[in-house]
Amino acid sequence: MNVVELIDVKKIYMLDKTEVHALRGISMEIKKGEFVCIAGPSGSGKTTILNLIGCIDKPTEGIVKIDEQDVSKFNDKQLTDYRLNKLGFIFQSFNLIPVLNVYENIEFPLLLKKNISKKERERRVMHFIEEVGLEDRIKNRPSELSGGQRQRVAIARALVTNPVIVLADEPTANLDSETGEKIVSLMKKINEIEKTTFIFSTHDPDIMNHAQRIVRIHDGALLS
Amino acid sequence: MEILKIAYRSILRHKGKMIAIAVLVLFGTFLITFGQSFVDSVSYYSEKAIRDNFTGDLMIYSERSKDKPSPFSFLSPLQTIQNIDDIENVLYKDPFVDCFVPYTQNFVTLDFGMEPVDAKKENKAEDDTEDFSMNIIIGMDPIRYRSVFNNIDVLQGSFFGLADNPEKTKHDDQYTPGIMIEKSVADLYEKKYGKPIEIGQQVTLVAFTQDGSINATKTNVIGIFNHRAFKRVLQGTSLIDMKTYSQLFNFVGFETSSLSETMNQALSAENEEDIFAASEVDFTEHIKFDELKEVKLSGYTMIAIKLKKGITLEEGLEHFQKLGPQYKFKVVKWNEAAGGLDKISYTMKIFIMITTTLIFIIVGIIIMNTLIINVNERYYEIGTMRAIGASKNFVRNMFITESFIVNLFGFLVGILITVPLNIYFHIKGMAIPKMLSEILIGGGKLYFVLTPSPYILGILIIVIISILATLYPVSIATKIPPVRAMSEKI
Repeated sequence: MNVVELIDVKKIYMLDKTEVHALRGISMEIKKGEFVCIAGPSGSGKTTILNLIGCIDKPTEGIVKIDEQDVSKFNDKQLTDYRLNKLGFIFQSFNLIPVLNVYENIEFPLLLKKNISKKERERRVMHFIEEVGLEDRIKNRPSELSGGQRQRVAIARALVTNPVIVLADEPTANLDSETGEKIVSLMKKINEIEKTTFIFSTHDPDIMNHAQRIVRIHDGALLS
Repeated sequence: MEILKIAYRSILRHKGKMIAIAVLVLFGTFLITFGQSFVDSVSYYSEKAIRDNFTGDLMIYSERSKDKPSPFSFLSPLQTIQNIDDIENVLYKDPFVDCFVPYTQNFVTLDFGMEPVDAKKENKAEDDTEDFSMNIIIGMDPIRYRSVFNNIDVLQGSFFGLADNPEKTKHDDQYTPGIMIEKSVADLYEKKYGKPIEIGQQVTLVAFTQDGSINATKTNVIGIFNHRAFKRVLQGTSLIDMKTYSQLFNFVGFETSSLSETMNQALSAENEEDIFAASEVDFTEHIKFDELKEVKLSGYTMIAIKLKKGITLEEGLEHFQKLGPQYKFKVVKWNEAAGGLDKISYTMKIFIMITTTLIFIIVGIIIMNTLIINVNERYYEIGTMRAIGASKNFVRNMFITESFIVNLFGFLVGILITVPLNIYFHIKGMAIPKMLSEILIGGGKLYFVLTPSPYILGILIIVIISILATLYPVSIATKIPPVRAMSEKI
């Protein structure tokens, strides 16, 4: 079953008066439970693909289907709900909410969902805190954590809503290689245990090796 | 709950800017609540001084008068109230009236029969009196006047020979006719004559009567006094008893019905022929002097009425407006008889409102700018929240909550400063410059009136300013696209 389907997707940005073709008619499919890497040099269009799959940007042309629904024509509210319920994000710069501690950061998306009881929230948060190995850092704020620990929090936050897809935009870019390895291994482990689809971008060959499938992209077009 | 937590922690994280906003709100709160309390107090004591000392609650005056009565802005005498006895009889029985007193105003020239100092030195003519040609006088029945208005401080002599304590004065007591000279007038004459005005000293009062003739009467100085309230406004206004006033202004007469038909015809002649015919009538033959009935002609031009407790001004006004046509009088509320004094506090209120509004516009703009900076600094944080599923409403509520907490904090601290200060000035009074005090509240310290209205107004303005100052930054925040969260640092 395809959880992601891009059909002839084009994305054009305007840079002053110049058109920048970020994606030039990309078509691809990602199946449920896959651990996919989108690889390519800087400026190749990796982040744009993730943005479109992540429903935080819209294609100029083409169709983006997530979990068999065409999200290209969704309005802002529908996209927001979709992001909350179907997607999880891991950012290159971790993007944790600085005023919340580890527990609260992970709990945050559950609070947005509103219909989850406090007991259930606590159960899920604690489960993923244990999963990413941050039991002893529950009360710490992001500024008190290392880069690797922050990214673990981000992973837990992305997973806590039981999303269909987790998107990770260069999750190891701001980490040293050893920590980067550990983070990708963790993602892989969760992918295997939770059967959650992971799509991550990188240009690091060592990280790419963990992927079940590599989608190579160059100048907005697929290479393989 | 989560929004409150995030808002509270965000405030702590950006405490520099938030303190700046809170201080601005504090300043604005102080300005409104203290300024408004000040103006309310001025308004209250100004009204009290005017009503208690000069106008009562309502003022009745002749329906023939075009001008409204006022003890403060006296330009020319009003028409006299002709049927004063009838009106007084009505007022004595009226269930709306607590007490009342008729009085009048006019101009007189005082002649103490002494030689001015300048004339002695320079051998000048004695008619060098232009500096104090006309004095304003209030004509009244001293016993009745003092039973309603206890508004003067006797410096020398006595209040028309009556006991010092107004409560010891009975209605059938006899007062001493004469003139009470206002202190500044006494000082002026002392300067002119080189010696003080003495109690018991004879003075000739000279005045223009209503028919345009000049009349003079001799009387004595009974006392020298200061007005207790609005001293500066009433500077130069002396008091004269009504007997002396009536003598001076010819308010003594006879009933015309006692005259013969020939006399009545002669007196009512209108055309040239009748006037010439009348001139040939020997009046002494037609007047039966032993049958003439002396009547009390009223020189009073206004009656101040104090209403009974529980009766509102509007009720009283409506009541007397209904009686007016029957008894040929008009009636006004105290503020219309205040000669613009009541408008000083009103003008101050408007001035403070305009100043406060301008300051708040500036404060609002500063708050808005600070919030915009705050939003810009949290661009990626908001983008991240949006990316992971926070709705625009969530972002909007979060910023509004932050703004509300900071503004509430500033407001409460402002109130905490203002309330004790207002209580202090309520108990101890605020010393304001003498001249200002005499014009604003009739003189003395300003004791603050404690009412909730300044605080309610403060809350309203702070809420409005907070909302207006927050709207634009919030609209910026809600427009932040979630895509900004990607590849950016918080």
